[in-house]
Amino acid sequence: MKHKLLLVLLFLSTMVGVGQTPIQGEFGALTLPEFRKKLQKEYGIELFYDPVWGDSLSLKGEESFSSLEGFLSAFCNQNGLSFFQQGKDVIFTQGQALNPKLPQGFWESPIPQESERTGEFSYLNAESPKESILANPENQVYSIGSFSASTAPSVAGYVRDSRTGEALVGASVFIQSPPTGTLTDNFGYYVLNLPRGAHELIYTYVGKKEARRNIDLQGEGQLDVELEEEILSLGEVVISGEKSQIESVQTGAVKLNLGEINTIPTVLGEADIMKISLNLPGVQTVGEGASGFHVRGGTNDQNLILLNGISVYNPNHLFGFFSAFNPNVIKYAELFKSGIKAQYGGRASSVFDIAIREGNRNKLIAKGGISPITGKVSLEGPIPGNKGSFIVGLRSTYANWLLEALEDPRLRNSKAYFGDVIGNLTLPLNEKNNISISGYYSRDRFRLDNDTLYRYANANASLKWRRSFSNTFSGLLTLGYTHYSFSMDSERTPSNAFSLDYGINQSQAKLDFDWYPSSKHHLQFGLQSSLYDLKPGELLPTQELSGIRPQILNSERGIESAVYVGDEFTLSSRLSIYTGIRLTHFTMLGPGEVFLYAPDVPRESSFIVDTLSFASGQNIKTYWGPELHFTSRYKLSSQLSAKVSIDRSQQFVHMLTNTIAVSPTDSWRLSNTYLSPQISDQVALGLYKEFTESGLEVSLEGYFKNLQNILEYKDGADLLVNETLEADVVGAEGRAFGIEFLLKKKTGQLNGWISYTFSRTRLRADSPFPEERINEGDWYSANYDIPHNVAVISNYKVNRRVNFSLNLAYRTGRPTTVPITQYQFRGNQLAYFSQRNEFRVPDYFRADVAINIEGNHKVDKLGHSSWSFSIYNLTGRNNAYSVFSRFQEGRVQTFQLSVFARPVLSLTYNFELR
Amino acid sequence: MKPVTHIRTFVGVYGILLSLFACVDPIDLDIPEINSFLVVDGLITDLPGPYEVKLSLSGPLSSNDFIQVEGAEVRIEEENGVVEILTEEATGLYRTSETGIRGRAGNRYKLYIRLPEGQQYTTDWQLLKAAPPIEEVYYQFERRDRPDGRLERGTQIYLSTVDPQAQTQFYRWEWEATWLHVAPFSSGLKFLGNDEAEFVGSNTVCYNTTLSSNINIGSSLGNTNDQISDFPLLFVSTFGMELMFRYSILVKQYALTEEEYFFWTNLEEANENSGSLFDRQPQSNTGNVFRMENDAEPVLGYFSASGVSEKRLFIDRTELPRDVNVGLAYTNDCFTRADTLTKERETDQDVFNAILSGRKFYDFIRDANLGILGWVLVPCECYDCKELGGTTEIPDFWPQ
Repeated sequence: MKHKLLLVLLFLSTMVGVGQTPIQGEFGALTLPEFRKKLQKEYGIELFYDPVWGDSLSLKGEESFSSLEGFLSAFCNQNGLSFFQQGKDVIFTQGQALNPKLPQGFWESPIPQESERTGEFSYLNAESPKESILANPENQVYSIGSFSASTAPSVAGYVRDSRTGEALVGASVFIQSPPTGTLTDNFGYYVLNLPRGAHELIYTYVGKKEARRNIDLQGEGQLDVELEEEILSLGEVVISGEKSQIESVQTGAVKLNLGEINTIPTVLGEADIMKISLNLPGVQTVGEGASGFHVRGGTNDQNLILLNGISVYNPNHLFGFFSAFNPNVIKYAELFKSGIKAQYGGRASSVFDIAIREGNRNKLIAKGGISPITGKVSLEGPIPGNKGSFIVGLRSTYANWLLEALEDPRLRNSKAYFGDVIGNLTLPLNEKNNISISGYYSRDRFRLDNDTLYRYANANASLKWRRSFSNTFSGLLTLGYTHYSFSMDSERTPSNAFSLDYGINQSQAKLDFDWYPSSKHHLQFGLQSSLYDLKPGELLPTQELSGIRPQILNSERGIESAVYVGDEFTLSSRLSIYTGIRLTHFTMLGPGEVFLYAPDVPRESSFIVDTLSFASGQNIKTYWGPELHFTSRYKLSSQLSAKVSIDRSQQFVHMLTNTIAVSPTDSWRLSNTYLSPQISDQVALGLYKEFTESGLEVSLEGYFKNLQNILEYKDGADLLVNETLEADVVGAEGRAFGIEFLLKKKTGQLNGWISYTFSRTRLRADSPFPEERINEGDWYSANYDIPHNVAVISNYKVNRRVNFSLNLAYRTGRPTTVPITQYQFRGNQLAYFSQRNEFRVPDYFRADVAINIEGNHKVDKLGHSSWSFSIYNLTGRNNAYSVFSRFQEGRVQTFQLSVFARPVLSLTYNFELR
Repeated sequence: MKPVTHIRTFVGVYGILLSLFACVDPIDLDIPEINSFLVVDGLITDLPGPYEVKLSLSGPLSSNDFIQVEGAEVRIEEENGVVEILTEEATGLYRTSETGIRGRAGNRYKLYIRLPEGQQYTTDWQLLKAAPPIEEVYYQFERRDRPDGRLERGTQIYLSTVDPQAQTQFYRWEWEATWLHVAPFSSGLKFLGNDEAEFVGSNTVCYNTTLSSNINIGSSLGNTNDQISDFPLLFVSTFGMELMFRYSILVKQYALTEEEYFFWTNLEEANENSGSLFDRQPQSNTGNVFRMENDAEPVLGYFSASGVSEKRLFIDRTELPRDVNVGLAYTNDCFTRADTLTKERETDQDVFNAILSGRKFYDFIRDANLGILGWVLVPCECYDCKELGGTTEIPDFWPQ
């Protein structure tokens, strides 16, 4: 409290005349600190002064005054002080009196002429001493908007990191009275519609110092703010003002920031945003090292993985060991499990939105890191002569030593390679126009035993142009391109030499608008369109002797378009409602052929009765339908809110997989005459509570989901280069429900989260024909039906340089199909299996620890480095990755395969040069 | 071979890729041992009969002692033709008569079973497809890496087949390997005591036969000309004894219907699961036999109607590189396990005791000057070739 003066805010705008506070009698001979306490206690007046000179002063205790002001005035005169009063705050200064008037000429040149000003932003005095404003912008009053009454008063702007100049996403901007606030969007942009007059805006963001700005709001205007790094001293607890969970209408959303990603231990030391998301409630995995994940009972292909707004098809390296995103370049990832906004579409179960950092706008910085199997570098910095910035990251592997260390000769002779490049360029053209360009490329090669070569690659590019038409109305144009392809080549036996290629391209254009027509409404609407172009399979002989029959499947083309509108309506400070509707239309385009099958028999290639041919550009099959998204938040108190959401999502691209985990040769196909769109309907309810004092957040969410047209496969189906795919798939329906509990502590010396999920997912494939039924048409557990799932992610800051992380994971074993009886047939000893997923593998438990040590923390030091030492699976528990059976001396013995059956140690070194 | 099979190799290997940190442990999933289903193993071919149908019940996972189903009525019917009731030759083994029904390519057959308790089972009509002749069965002397890291050499046996009519497309192969085995210590002597032995003869040369016990199927679906080239059937290692003298393999090629081919594919896949998450999901496989009263009851096995063609290949030791040791492990084992008993320490009684405990008397240890110094005793499998399961009868196909 002694230093309160140093933090004091000077309210220069709303100067109130010095009032008269009556006092009785005298104060007695008090020291100034004693007097301060008395004032606070008896009169509710806060007295500020510099303790350097103030603590030694004392009152004489003789004079008697009728008003406090008279007393203060006399006291100051005696001691050569000045005093300043606003409301209940009294400030003593020594030497210089506080002048409540604006400096001379403050309003001069920047104020445009009345005629130019209407509907325009107004700016701060460009001529005024900028340094001093920057030095303490909290001392200033910012006049926002023109005085003309034609525009609704609103303040908007960007919130950025003062060190790097990067936009801060999800920073909260609010005023305390009346309690009104908002969060910055993906560009760090915020808009607040407020009544005319004086306000104190508060800007907060985790890990940053809170900033306050006094504004005099008259119309529409802009105010950009930079937040400084919070330099923490040991033991200090930061209570963030972010009220996202309580305030936002959103259900089922979790955000992971870069800081959270880097401290969590992972296998082989690779910080990995997608693997960490597996610890979030409602996210399930079928095994460690398996790529893909399942959200709230959805299948693997139902997650829309976006990188800067553009989808990525196979975000995995090395069959799923690592996600294909360089952590140095990732800003954050946000997972939406429900309450999905209408601007997202195209996948049925979730949105995993990954944002690339814009790069430091002030300095050139190089970062790098070395882990046991990868090396990565990134470079970022400002673009000279412009306010823009760039970032580029590169990652490559040297995993071959790992293979060479293996005993199995087939693997010792194998070679693995992967790498990825990611980059972003941000160009703010002017205050109203912003352009960003980003690109991404990842590729994997795996040569098995000097023979078959497997390759796959993702390429992704986007151009975004954001234009602010006014404070409250902005548009974003996104042009994007995504490519995913894989291939296999084998030349070992000339008679069977072949190559197989698959590729999908998606070109998309999106036009999204954001409009705040009043303080109560936030409208988002737009148009989106994607053109899919697929090469579903090309099998070719690669040598003259090869007997492989060339087989080239017709390419597929489809257009998915959508219009949407969504409105977040704040009915009162307690009740907010989001209603969004998205009308989606999908057309499979010619050229193409559609086989017609005989009715009343199972759909099999032998029952094809006719073939329809379609010319180029002709509509083969069209699907369309509305998708409703509704969310509502009711605040029971300032720290407790309840929410409900309803979502419908449709999906027109489907990944074909009949293995348990996603494999690199799983292909995507479009909806057609036979493959109906996958549809998910979800209702979710949630309760959210915050404990401001302790920095804790608690949420409890429940959901029920209904799934239609999930693809399941007939026994023995070959999905690659399959001309009659529809004859090998069956449509299944699914039902999922669950309860998710999350306790999160975002700040403080000890932070992290604990999550518990109870969930069930059951599927059913029924048909009049036994061939098309699974488990006789009864409901059965999905592969990822994992009822109990507990995750603990914790990080303890020992001191500024050392932190310690501990993760715990427990989950029920996943369902599996195992032998139940054995028999002899035609000389073979064979096993007969249970119904699909009738049994479960043993439960899973794992503990990981990591210690992260950073170099010294001098803010301006040239180089920073950090070490991270982690132990994955500390207890060395043998967790079942899968179970399988073998015949042993006449018995059928079931085994479990554990992938990481012992503690895996790794050491990672990261550096940063600036 | 279809490229799809390559994917499965890839997939299997993924499990091993993880083996740097991985481990495999037996587990007990508490699977109830109450599941028992009818298993039908029936086959009619276009070769002369008799044909057999075996009926048994599947058993618990912990034992391969299966119950045979006796007393059933079993019929094979030809579409628009004869019906034959099979006779039970042994428990659970039903056979047609020598002069009875005869499978013919292009005809369709069905099986009917009535258990003593009255349950009736049948199949749909099964088309018997002719099998084209096997184009070639050949071998290459190859080296390969064993999973334990050792290098082994041996003959890789391949087959190629082609159907000029392009009708078959789906194949299954069985093989029957016969190899000559000579017991290295087969002296034929019987120890009588007191430095005496008489020649009673012993089984020195045997012909051992092994049957294929894994599933070999192939499809020419992805190939031009209904042709399958270089299908790797089996690898015969020089670590084993098979190639020591002369080896012969008879390959039987069965022409399958598409339905039967997929039955075998699923069976193979489910039973060769490596534990990788990239394996296809195993599934419960039933065949073409169903219960007439309740088609949901699982009936295992298959009633096959298949055309058959055969081809035999011989491999002589002399064809293999000279510097290769064949069956070294066996020969070495016989030498190291041969015991010498000396008169200095042992008596005749010790020799008799050793014989009683299962050893065989091979010969005396003689010295030109000192006479008999002791005895050599050997393990049975080094003395009597029949101990390893062979027969001394010369098979009729064996070249003299």
